[in-house]
Formats: sequence, structure tokens, C-alpha cells
Amino acid sequence: MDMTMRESLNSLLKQVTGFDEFREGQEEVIHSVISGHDTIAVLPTGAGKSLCYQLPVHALGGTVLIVSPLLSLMEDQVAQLKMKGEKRVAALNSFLTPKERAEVLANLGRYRYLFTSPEMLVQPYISGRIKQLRLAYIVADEAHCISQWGFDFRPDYLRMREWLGTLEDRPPVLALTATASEKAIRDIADYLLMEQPQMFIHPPDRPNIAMEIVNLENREEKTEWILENLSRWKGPGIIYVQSRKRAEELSDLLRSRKVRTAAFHAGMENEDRILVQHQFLNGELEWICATNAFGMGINKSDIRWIIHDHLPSSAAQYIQEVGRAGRDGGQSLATLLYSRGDADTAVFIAVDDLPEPETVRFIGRCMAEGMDIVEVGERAGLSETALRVVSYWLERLGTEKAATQMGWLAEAKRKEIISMVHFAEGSGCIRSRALGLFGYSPATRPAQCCSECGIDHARILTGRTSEGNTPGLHGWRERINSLFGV
Amino acid sequence: MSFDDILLNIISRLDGERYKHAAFHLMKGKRSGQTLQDTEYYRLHPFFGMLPSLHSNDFDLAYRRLLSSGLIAEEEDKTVFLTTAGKTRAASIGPVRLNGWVYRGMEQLFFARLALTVQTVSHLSAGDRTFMPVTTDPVVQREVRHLFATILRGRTPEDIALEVRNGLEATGLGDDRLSRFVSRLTGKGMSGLTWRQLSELTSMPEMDLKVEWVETLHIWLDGIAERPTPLLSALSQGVRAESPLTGSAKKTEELYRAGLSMEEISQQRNLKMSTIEDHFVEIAINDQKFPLHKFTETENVEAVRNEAGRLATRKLSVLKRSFPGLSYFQLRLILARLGKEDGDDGHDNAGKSEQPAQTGHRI
Repeated sequence: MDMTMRESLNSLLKQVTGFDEFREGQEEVIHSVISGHDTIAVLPTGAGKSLCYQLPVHALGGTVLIVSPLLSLMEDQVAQLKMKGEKRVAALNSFLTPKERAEVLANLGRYRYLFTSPEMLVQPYISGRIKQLRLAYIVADEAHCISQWGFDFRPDYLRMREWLGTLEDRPPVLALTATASEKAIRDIADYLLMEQPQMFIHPPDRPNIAMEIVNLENREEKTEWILENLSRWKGPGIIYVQSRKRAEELSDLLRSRKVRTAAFHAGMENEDRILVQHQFLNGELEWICATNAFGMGINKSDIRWIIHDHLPSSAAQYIQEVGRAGRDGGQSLATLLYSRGDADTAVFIAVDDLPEPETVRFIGRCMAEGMDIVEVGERAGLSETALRVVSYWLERLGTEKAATQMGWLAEAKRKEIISMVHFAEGSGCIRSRALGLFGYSPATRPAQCCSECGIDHARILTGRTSEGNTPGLHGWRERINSLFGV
Repeated sequence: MSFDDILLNIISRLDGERYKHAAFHLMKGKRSGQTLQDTEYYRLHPFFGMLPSLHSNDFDLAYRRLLSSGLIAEEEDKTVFLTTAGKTRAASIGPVRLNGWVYRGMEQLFFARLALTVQTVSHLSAGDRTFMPVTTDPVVQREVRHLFATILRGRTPEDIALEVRNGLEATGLGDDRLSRFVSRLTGKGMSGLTWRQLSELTSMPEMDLKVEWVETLHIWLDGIAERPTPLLSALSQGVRAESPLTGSAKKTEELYRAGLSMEEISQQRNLKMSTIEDHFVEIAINDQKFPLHKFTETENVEAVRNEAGRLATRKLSVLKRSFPGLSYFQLRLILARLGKEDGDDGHDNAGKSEQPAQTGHRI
């Protein structure tokens, strides 16, 4: 990048955001987009991904189309832009009333940021209207969801490929994500019909998070370890567990030791899950015992400790969950509690979630008879994710090929878990082993690196001093008054 | 009132003629012909749809508790009835103040709007314009945003707090109960409690807390309908069921009024004949003027009425044996009419407060 370019990017940054300097990794991505290249950017969580799609449009003019697979995330981003004073922003999604939708469509050309979902894109009328816009570039947010190898695979996202294929003069595409394996990156480039994309892949290394693996015999020992260490050191933290039952069990035990803890899993009412998130953000709760349902969209910057009570089913998932610690840059810790039996459980659960070829055929038959997809899923005992995946491939490939596809997927998942087992059972620097899962090695070795290189808990965590007192139920009039701040 | 008492109350009204599923579907508010018919026959309106997300595990646990404590028992064919001990217990239960038929789970919408409004005022009065909303439903978010642009414009937190406090005061409910109720609300720096946390704090079972919460909402909403105040009536907009018919039955009724036959409606709507029959039963249940004579001879209605009275039953299978010449559909229509007539005989009418809200003094 030449000096004039660098200067003009810097003055653009100053003018739009008021900041003087880019954070690491941002400038190259923005430059690539402005220069009209298809771009893939893998930036670690907390690196400032949103600026990468927000800034270039100020130089290019026109409208950015941001395709986002998660509606709640979309609403979040729109709200954040509006909070910064951006008025030319709208979301075109299924939440709009007909009147609102008509209003957005009538003003389409006026928006600088237009957010939409993959499902909306393939609706002919909307697609036609969007094609008439002067699109500066198209953004695929959370792009790892597009890869069937990703743990968050969302088949709806693949519809974006169909839509991109119908564009005659396609503007550049920017794919953004925090974690993607090599295979997933290939998928992203392929599914988004990218032409020789510029890639900016940053290793998912977080030097402020020390890494630790603790070998234990069995679940009982893990429970003991958690109770003992959480009585000694403070959070806030998250314990990732395998099952709802385990989440409840651990949180009950911790509460009985006066550690303010709650469980979080998909079996809880939505309202209660939101309350738990609030309490955690507010510091009313110190620990969350969660299944992997917890995390997306949670923005708590001072999480000090992530504990894995089980072996995560992929490197990307592990790193994503670990990455929720220390977003404020403060020293944090990631602990993996490992016992030899964990590998079998992990394989069983990951593959169990995928339907057998025989199940795929059964589902194919039921759907051919016009049965409701949700009901079919219940009968076959599939999770929501698994059903999403199967129905997508059934629709595209037909029953037989879809069954084969599921076989491959199961094989790939097994391999991912085996590489996690190697990670857990290996020797040498844990940080190097973790980055090695993605084909990197650490650029620096922080003082508190990992339990193999030697770490000092007292330098990472804060000791527990006093017991937290459990609040009682207040009088209702007093509570209403304090709620309203009167 | 505990969840178990509610269940006992329902079973006592079902009069030994139904299986346990009838009570489950009733509480969940299932919109099937059978459940709607049961609701009408057995005067179960207070309980209809009181817990839309009731889990079958929780239901089964309560049912088994009642069985093992000897308050209820099952016949050989699995119909459930109250034992003598059960009858004694049921007689000692206080009055039910649920109003499920009118709110049908929509009270939760009222609470979601209230919770978001409280949270918003709480944060705004602390000078905080950004927060994570307690409800993720974008429709509710939009409605509340609209309130702040309209009726809440210019009102102070003191003023709003006063309206909410007075509203709760007017319910006449006890302080402990209201404390449990407001503990679910969230504000700046103080989050609401989950059911589990509230249960640990009060030593009350989660299901009892949920039932109490729904009943509190019904009592409060009934009060707001009678004495509307600006914010509370805005928050309760549209939570009372306007038409007793479900959406689909309503469409069928419209087509029937337009002169289409049942077969034609079935074809046009691409619905099975049995579904259309369910709709007609639902219409007959709710419409005093339903032209029953077009579906069966008037003397059949008389005969079924007498037989049902003689056998003291409303069981379809029993009546069908006495009237092999009538179809199940015809029998159900006739029973729908009988259900209505009973209601006019001065039966317990709890929960059927369909009368329009009186216009109170507006502030």
C-alpha cells in the first residue's frame, strides 16, 4: 500500500469515526475492498470486524448490502449503527410489518447500509429491487456459517450463492468471520463465487489468554477440581459443559458453595435465558454453566476464565468459546479439563447428531408424502441443526446423494474430534498446539503462556475473599421505585 | 393456588368422563374441536390456554402426585375421577381467578411489553441509552418504541411508577405475592429472577410460581379493563380475545355465511373434511343462532338431550350406542348446543367475563 493511500485511509478513519489509528488487520481489509477485490477476512474476536465493512462505503459511495444469517445479530448491528448517529441504515427482514417493509423498499436507494437475510434475497421482487441499486460491495457476515464444515452451518446461507449467480455485474464480496478452518475458507470462496479473493487470515491467537490443560480421571474428579478451584479463585467465567443435566448439576453444587452461578441451556424458557444473560452482564452472577447454546451475541468484556468440562467437538468451536475471555485485553485463563473417556463421548455426541443414511431415507420418504418437516424431525429424533442440514441436502441432491453426503459429514466430524484429542493428549506448548490446529504457530510467547510453559495462577486470577451474600426478595413497592429510579 | 390444586379442580369438573390428556390440552389451549367442546361442556373457561408452554413432564409429575396421594383415581378405561378425599380437597380450594378463555396466553404479551417499558424507563432515567432489551421479540420492541414516541412522551419516571404501583395496588393482592410478581422485572443494574432462582428464594415449586404469575396477570388485566389508565391500557392493547373462534374456524364461518357448502369449503380451503367438521362444531359451540336444524332433525336434538340427561353423560361413545343412526359429527353438533343451554341454566360462569369493559375515569 503506498503512502498516499495510507494517508487517505487514515483521514477517512478520522473523519468517519474520530479514531486516529486502525487496529491491527483492519487497514489491509479496507484497502482491498476499496480496490474492488473479493476479500476474505478472518479476524479474531474483538479485533473490530464491523469497521471493515462500515468504512469502505464512505470512500466508494452507493449502498453496502450486508447479508447476515442471524436475525438477532442483524438487529444488534442496525441498533449499534443508529446509536452512532447513522440514519441511512435499514434492515430488510421477515420481522417487518407490510407497512414498514413497503417503506424500506420505497427508500431503498437512500440507504448507506442495507442489512438483509439470505431468505429475503431469493424472493424475486426484493432481489429485483436490490439489483437496481448501486451496490458498492456485498458483505457476508459470520461467513463461517456458510461452510458445511463449520459447527454453525446454516443452509439458508447457501441461497446467497444462488443469488450471487444471478447478478450480471457483480460488485466485490467481502466475507467476514472470526474463526474458519482452511477447509471452511475454501468453502466460503467457492460458495460466494469469489474470483481470486484477497485473503487476510489472522491466527486466532489471544496472547492475554493463558491456556491450561488439566488431566483428570473422570467426571467426579472434574467436579472436585471445579469446586475446589472456584472456591479459591474468582471469575467472572463460563464453564462449558456437554449436557443440560451437567449444567444444572454443576450450578447447583456451586450455588451450595455460595458461588453465584446459574445454568444456561436450550431447555430453559427463552425469558429465563435472557434474565441469566442480564445477570451475568450485570455482575449479579459470577459463573454460568452453559451448553454451547451460550455465547453468540454476548458482549461481556471482563470474562476472566473459560473452563471446558468436556472436549469441544472442533478446533473452531474451542477457539471461539475460549475467545470470549479477556475482550478487555486483561489477563485471562482458559482451562480444559480432560479425561481419557472424553474422546468417545465427543465422537458419540457429534456423530449422533447426524442422521444415519437410513434415517435420511426415512425423512426423504416422509417429506415426499407431504409431512410437515418439523414433525418429521421429531419422529426421527433429530436436533434442529441436523434437520436444517438434512432438509437442505434432500432438497438439492435427492435422497440417495444426501445420504452419502451425511456419511462424509460424519467422517469429517470424526476427524475433527480426533485432532482435538491429539491436541488434548499431546505434549509441548499448548498455545502452539492450539494454533497448530489451524496451521499457524504463535508469533510471540506471552509471560503467562500455558500450563506446559509454566503459568502462575496468582498472576492471572484474583483470589476469592468474601462470600457473596444472596439477596432476598424485596418489597414490591420498593422494587418498582428502584426500577424506575425514583 | 398450587398447580396440583388447579389440576384437581379441572379433573373435578371433567366429572369422571375424560382422560388426563383432556386436562393437558386444556391448559395448553389446544385449538381442537374436542378441547373447545370440553371447555364449553365442563365449564373449563378459566383454565383454557393458561399455560401455553406447559411441558408434558411437569404435567405428568403433578398427575402422578395426585394419583399417589389418593386424591384422584383412574377407571379401567383410564378415565380419571375424584376420590372422596379428592372431593373434600377440591371443596376446600379457594375460588379460581384465572381467566384463560379471555386471554389465551396473550397475558404474556402484556408482560413482555411491561417488562421492556420498565427496563427502558429504568435505563433512560439513569442516562443510559443503550442496553440489551429483555425481550428479543422485534414486534414488542417496536410497540414499546411507539409508546415512548406517543403516550409516554413527556411523562416522568415518578409519574409512570405511580401508575404501575397504583395498578398493582388495585388488584388487592397480598404484598408477598406482588413481590414475587415484580421480581421478574428487570432494570438498570438489577435483573429479574429466573423461575429457578425465585423458587429457591421462596421455597415454592416453580410450577406453582408460574400458575400464580399467570393468575396475577389475569386479575390485573381484568382490573385494567374495568378501570383503564393510560399506560396500562396501552400495554394491554389486543390481549383480550375478540372472537371466541380460532383463526381458521373464522375463515370457515365466513365462507359458510357466504353460502358455500361444507364440501365446497373443504375443497376451496384444501382442508380435510374432518377439519371442516371441527370448525362447524366450534362455530356451533360459540353461536347461539347456529342453524342446527340444517344438519339434523329437531326431534333428534330432543332425543339426544333426554338420553344425555337420563344417562348423565356427555360421552360421545356412549351416546353413539343409543343413536347408531346419527353420525359422530351430528352428535357433536347437538352436544355443542346442549353445552350452551346448560350454561344458561345458571351454571358456574367463572371466567366468562365477555362483557365489555366499563369505561372508567380517564386521567
